[in-house]
Amino acid sequence: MTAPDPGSLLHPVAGCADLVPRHVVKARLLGQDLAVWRADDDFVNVWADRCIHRGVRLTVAANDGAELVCPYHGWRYSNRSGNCAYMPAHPSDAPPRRLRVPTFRSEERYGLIWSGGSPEAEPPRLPHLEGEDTLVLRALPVNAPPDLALQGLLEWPCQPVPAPGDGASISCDSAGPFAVAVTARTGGTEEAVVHFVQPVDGGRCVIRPVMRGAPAADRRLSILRHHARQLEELRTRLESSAGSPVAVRGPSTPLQPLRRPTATAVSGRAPQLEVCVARKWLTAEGIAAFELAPVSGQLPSFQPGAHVDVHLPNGLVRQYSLTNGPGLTSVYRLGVKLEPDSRGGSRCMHVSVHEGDRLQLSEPHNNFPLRRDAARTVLIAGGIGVTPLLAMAQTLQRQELAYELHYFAQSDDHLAFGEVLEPLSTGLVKHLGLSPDQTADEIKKITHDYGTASHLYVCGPGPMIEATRAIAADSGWPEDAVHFEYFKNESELHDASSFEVRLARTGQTLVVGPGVSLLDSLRDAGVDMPSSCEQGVCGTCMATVLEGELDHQDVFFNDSERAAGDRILTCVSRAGGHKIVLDL
Amino acid sequence: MYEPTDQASTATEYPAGSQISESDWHILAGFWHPVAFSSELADGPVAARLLDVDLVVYRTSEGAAVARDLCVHRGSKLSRGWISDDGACIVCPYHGLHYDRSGQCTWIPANDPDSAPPPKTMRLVSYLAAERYGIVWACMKPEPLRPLPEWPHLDEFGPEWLRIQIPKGTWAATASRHCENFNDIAHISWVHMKTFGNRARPVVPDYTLEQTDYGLYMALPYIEVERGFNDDLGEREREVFYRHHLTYPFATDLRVDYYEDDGESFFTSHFFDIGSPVSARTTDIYQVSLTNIPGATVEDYAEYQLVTNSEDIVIVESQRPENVPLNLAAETHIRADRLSVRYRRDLVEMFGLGSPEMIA
Amino acid sequence: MIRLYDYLLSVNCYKQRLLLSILDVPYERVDIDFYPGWEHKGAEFRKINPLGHIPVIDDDGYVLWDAHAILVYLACKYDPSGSWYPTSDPQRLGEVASWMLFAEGTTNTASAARLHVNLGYDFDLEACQAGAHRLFRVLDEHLWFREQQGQAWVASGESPTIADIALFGDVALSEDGGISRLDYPALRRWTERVQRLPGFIDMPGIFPVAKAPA
Repeated sequence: MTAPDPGSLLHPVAGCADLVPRHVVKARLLGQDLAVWRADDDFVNVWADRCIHRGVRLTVAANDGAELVCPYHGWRYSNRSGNCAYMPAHPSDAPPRRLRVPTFRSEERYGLIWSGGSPEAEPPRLPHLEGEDTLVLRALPVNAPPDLALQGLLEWPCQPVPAPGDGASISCDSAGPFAVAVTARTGGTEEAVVHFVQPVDGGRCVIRPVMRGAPAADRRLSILRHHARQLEELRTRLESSAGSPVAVRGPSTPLQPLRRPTATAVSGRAPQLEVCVARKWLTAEGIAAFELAPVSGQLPSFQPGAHVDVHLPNGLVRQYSLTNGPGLTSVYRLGVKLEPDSRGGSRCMHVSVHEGDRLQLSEPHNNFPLRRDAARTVLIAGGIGVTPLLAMAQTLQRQELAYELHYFAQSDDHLAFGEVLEPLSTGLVKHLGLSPDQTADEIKKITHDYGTASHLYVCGPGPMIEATRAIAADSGWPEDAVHFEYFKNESELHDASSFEVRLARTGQTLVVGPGVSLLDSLRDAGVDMPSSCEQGVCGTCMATVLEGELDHQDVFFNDSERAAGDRILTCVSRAGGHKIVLDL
Repeated sequence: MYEPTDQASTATEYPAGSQISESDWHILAGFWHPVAFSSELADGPVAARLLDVDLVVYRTSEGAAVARDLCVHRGSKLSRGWISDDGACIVCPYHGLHYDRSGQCTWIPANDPDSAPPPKTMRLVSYLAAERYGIVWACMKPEPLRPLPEWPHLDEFGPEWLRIQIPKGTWAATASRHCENFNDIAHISWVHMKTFGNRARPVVPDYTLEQTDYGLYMALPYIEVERGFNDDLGEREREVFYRHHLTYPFATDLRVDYYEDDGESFFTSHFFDIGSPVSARTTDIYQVSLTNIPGATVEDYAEYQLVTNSEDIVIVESQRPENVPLNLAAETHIRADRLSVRYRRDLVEMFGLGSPEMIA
Repeated sequence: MIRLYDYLLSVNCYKQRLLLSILDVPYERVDIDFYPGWEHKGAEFRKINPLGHIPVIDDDGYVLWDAHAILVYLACKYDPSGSWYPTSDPQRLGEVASWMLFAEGTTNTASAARLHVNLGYDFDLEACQAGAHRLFRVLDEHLWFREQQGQAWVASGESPTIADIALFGDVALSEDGGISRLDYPALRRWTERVQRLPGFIDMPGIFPVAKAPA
């Protein structure tokens, strides 16, 4: 029988108890360095120990409960997805969704965290440990190859736990490719300890013992000490013989990073996520709240201000902001106001969509990103416009950044998501039942003293957004300090143009419409384009141009390269005229 | 036990066992790199290591010299020898052989004084050497790819300038990682919170970046926090203007103008930083500063720079992979990284570094 | 006012700054010109400490040197709670003394390796690293068993002692000296607990940690 490929199996990488709150455990499995951390929602993340920007170890990052913060440039990475959430050097940019740390599987069993393996691999299930409580004993790192440790454990018939007398019959048996079980029988009692061997790399391993049964509190410590002493002796033996040549069972395949269940090679606005309405309730007068859970896998992470396109049962597509705070990662939470003159969007959500129904969503898009570097952040919400601002307020509150959330509504009954507003009390100011003129007066008061590094975010009815922008401008707020969202707004890139692209090799002709990148259009047409930064910096998505004027919007090319006009970065640049021909 | 009798198979320039690829080695050997501070040569020859080659650095009355640290007679380390009393030669500690600045053996003491002078072929493996800016530089190829950095300020400066030489550091990192870090703006607000970083100013503006005949020029304003290293006025924000002149491959002149409260007058410091590639993953750091800040002292400035370095060193040593990935898709780049992207492209496109793994 | 003869990059000096900060005791730093003057080795400084090393404190004319001795003095004199150097509890005091001696070992191995790497000191790097790993194994096991007993600190009891301060700097900066803490998860958790103590201050090379959850 051939030994299974270690890379196809799940192996322990840490004890569950090692993952204390706000901590990052350093681990290594089959030569891959790992950063393992538990978020405040109890999700255990197993990530490559390397910031994707400049390669700094993420085990020196700070775990703030929802994100890891790299100490080099302050990049933040989200719980679960590993997506880059925020780049402080460019605070008004939403990081491209492709920026993510490689993530690995994480499973919990027998008090250990298991990772690696092929997608269908399961942590081992051993009769020795089933059906009862287990106690994780002290794990011991050993500077000896995993094979040597396994062999050493098989030849190590030690009483696993202290027992009276020495008449025990002890047996050591292989319990799978990377585990050895020790069973000791004395009279009618039987003790069992399974030693899992974590293959760190070719020359090192960690022995992780798990004992069957939960001993009484007064015996617990003596068992732990007894076993640790025994294992220490074994380690001394193993390490002194590790110098001799041993056939090392090295990793034949590297660890498989997880792929996001949704990360198919498509983009644009096609529906990509299937969700189920997990909960629907009336959160305020005329406002229905929805919690949408993934049908399988995980939901992509997103940043405050993001929205999803919801594909409704009646065929309409509507955009709704996500209200989630940083702790809520298992569902998307939306608020939908029933519009009296609804053309069928909000009415359909209110009337036809029920708990248990399935819906198609796009991945989250963010045209309304939140800066986290402001000295003062003012959020102004009008009615249902509160939804993206709720996500922002919760993020700011969690990071202990100063903010005010001004919530304008008709009455107390019209305030949505009271349970979310409650903990925001320090920053929340309610303005109830005001006329448009009174509202304008309030907004004047709120915005009258502009100070540097202040930022204003407004979301609500169109006239209110217009009024707020005008009032803020009068009070001296610079344009780039006032942020607002109309759905389908024009982003900062000049992507309003529409043009034709002819692919010289395949003969296809595509039309790139306003608001869609050339890169996305190419992918939609089935061209396999690599990309990395998607900001016109790294040059990964370059294509050769055969004909046509170019509108370069990257910072990758220098002036002469730009003037040559023979290459284009498809993520941000566009045709200067109405047509280009690419060598694709 | 024995070297092979067929010398042709062993006599290559490229050092056996080097972790630098052979292609990169031959390119890097064509640049000037520091091998010692001039001040280190006061008491005789010193040992150095450059691109995995052991060198002896010495100064005769004719000037500084660099050669393999190997007496051609019996392979002794010349760095353990001394300079002859007349100042003309380095003396091997084993049998007293004398070599002049060019590496020519001029005297074999064991030979009959009346015998012929040592043959012309009896010479050290010597390299180009130059002494400038208080630093001895070596180039291991006969035709340097690029001249020495042009830093006229450091050649000649008036009495209002103070020169500070920082103790040489040895980083367990590649020279390019060090160089990129020295020219990185975005990390200042995160890493340098004991020295001049400003956590409240993390945003990197669209800075000036130009390709020049020596390498790259970058310029931008920043607002530092002064933390009392250079005066006793306490912690406060201060407007500065940075000008980075990066001479390829690893040498930077960072000029910092420190503005006074009037926003117009300023004082200036230059931080000259050169990474010398000792081996693939070890880099010696040569740093010299100039400042005209009134009242600045060597002690305060050196401490300031050493603390700054110690903030960087843990980060740079932790970067993986240790080599800078010249394939731009291997790391993520943002607008703030324009200099680093251009640097990586130029190392490939101008010099061919990273081959053959990289170039398609 | 206490004067502390200090150098920012010295771990032994940092131990004093850390305890003084935690105890909220005002002091005056006297910055020793380590480089280029090697002032601590000079004749003037040897009048203060004939051994020519720092830190040294001068507390209104009372002069004391040796990092761990100064910690004892500062804790006894300036910690009214008596918890940092528990003189009223012989057993805990014995443990503190024992781990302070252990910390001499980590200073001579882990911190020596760091001096070699950062400041070019002439130490045998490999020997220092191997020695540090031997000690870290012992300390990691000790701290793991402390955790199993529901305790957080090096010496028994509910509160930290100067033994934690004496060990922290050597451990927290060990990666500077090329000593990975991969194999010491309990040690890594303990360093974070120290970093979350009220009044904690860091030094260059120590990465900040996130706040404890509310």
